[in-house]
Amino acid sequence: MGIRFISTSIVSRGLSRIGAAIGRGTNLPGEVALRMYPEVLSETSFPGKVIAVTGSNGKTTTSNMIAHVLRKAGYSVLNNARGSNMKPGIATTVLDAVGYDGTVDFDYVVLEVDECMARFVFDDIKPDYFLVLNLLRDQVTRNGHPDVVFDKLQAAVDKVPAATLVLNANDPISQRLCNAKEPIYFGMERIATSTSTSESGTQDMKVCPVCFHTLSYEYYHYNQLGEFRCPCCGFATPATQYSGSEADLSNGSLLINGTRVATGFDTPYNLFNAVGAAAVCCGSGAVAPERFAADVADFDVEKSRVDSFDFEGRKAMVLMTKLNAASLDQSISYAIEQPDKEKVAVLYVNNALYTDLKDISWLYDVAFGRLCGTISKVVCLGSRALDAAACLKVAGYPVQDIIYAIDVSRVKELLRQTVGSIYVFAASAFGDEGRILEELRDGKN
Amino acid sequence: MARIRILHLYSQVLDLYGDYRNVDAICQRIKESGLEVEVDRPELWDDLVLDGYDLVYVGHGKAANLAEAARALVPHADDVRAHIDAGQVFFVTGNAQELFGTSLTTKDNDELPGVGLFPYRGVEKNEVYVTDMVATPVFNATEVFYGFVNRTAYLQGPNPYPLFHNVRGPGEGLESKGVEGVLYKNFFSTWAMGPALIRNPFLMREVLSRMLGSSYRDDLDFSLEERAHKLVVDEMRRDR
Repeated sequence: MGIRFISTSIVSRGLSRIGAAIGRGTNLPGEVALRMYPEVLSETSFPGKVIAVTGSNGKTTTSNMIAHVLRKAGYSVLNNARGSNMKPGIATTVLDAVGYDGTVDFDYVVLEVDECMARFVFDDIKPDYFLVLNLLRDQVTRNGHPDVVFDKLQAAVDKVPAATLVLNANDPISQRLCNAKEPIYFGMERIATSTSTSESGTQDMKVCPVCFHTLSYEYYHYNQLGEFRCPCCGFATPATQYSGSEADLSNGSLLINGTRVATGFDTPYNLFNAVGAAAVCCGSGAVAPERFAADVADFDVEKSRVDSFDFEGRKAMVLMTKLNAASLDQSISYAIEQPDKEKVAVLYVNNALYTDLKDISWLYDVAFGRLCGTISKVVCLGSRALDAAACLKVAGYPVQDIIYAIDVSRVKELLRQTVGSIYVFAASAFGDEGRILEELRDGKN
Repeated sequence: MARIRILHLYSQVLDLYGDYRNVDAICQRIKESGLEVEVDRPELWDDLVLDGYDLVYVGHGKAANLAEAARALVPHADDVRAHIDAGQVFFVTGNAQELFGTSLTTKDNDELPGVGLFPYRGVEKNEVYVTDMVATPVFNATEVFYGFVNRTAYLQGPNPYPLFHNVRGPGEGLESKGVEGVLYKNFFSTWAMGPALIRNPFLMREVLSRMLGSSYRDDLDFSLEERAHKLVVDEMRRDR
């Protein structure tokens, strides 16, 4: 390997260690490396298998789950568990592990990849398996609508004709991705939380993408995910090779191809993630289904999006949600299904950090009507608190039960005006979503 | 009790970014005014009947869906133009504006005819452009409109009937000339999508008054929405 490659990887590794020591992000070392030597990733070789994981929701959890199962099975695994899923962050992860001969000597490299950036990552790194969990309306200020993201993702797929796609059969959007190889489909049969109508504020595939007639759904899991069929042209949920069924959300278990798997997850979307992980781990031949079941059982879900604690003798839970309606809808579902006698919610919404865009259009895609009769008060906080309150009003939530303030440091004071368990919906997208947790735990007021 | 009728056109396919909630909010206000309201939501394959509606609402959609909407709507172009010329109230958001120009060019470079009411044409780029927007409405120079624009297309050509002047935000296409949207008789359109009517109470009032005529009430409580509007406009002024 040439001196330029070696010096670039040394610089990246050095910056990465400094970054880790001072608790900084993982983008910078890779960014510097790619500037020093743009071909550094394409000159890296991967003798093992590369698994890429993407999707609007669930890619961090699922890629970490896959890495966990493969490690437990005895494989050496490199993954970007702490890294960014953009190309610079992935470069940091890879260059941290590359040898001076340019080889990343691991049995498996598991990479979480941003759905809009995969097309750039795949210029240099060619995955053997590409798991796409879902495509939902997400961070509209960055991504636009799912068709735009789909086109970017298909452009990524076009660059990896040899990759085996692992696709969610229940998602009529992302399951249409294709290359020359036969994909592996995974999905989930009807479970207790499935519904006959979409309970989400929106769903992005009301009509058939082929002939534009109304899609008929047997059931919905959430948003556009479910079992569907076009009565006109026959576009339908494809047959699955890996299927989840008989889910028991009380203990987080489900059957995957007949094998009982205890995931510990109590939400449908995380069960989907487990089936997707099984499709990759078992479909690649890395582990048998029984082994997957045994090894996934002690996977400790990344906790940063769910945090439980005590607030002045009351149960409180912070649910970090992405700036997408599906994520917030699922957090709401979780909150309203909890058996607490009385519940209040906090809705923390800010301008998008960095851009400072004042958009809250995505909030209007959320099914807030479900809070009526289930959540006794809603406290709106953050720079867009008043807009959030207006949104709740349009959804039919009683105005007299909405409390709002822009200043997040008032959260304790405002919560003392309420009773019951507290569910905090902290909408995040590179914002200061963690601030509300700090205020609740450490704030002075 | 009078019954107000709203036609939410092709809502199954033109449904992005929560702007269908504008229709919910209009319905709430009509009920608060002591009137009944019904909303019809025809699909692409249904007969298009415009007679008898107090408002026709057309929202923003995915580009592929918009092209299908154009194929469904344009055969009725004469009828659409006649109703708009006769003063029917239309509220149109985002790329649905393209339907009413001379043509729409898709991302695959197919040129589809539009209704032909206005001399602009829509061009799809399949690249996301987002911005906050503030502007002055032509019907009330004392008001400030705030909108959020999220689009993958732009309009090209003249705009003889702008809805907004002094536009700060959108920079490509005919908006670069400092005007945005259309106000032609009672036809309103804007790139601002999402809850544009909810975030701009003065615009909601304007649309309601044109829809309801003598049944319009100016004593409805917009205090929450007005506080939210003032806050965002003040922020935009500070950001300048």
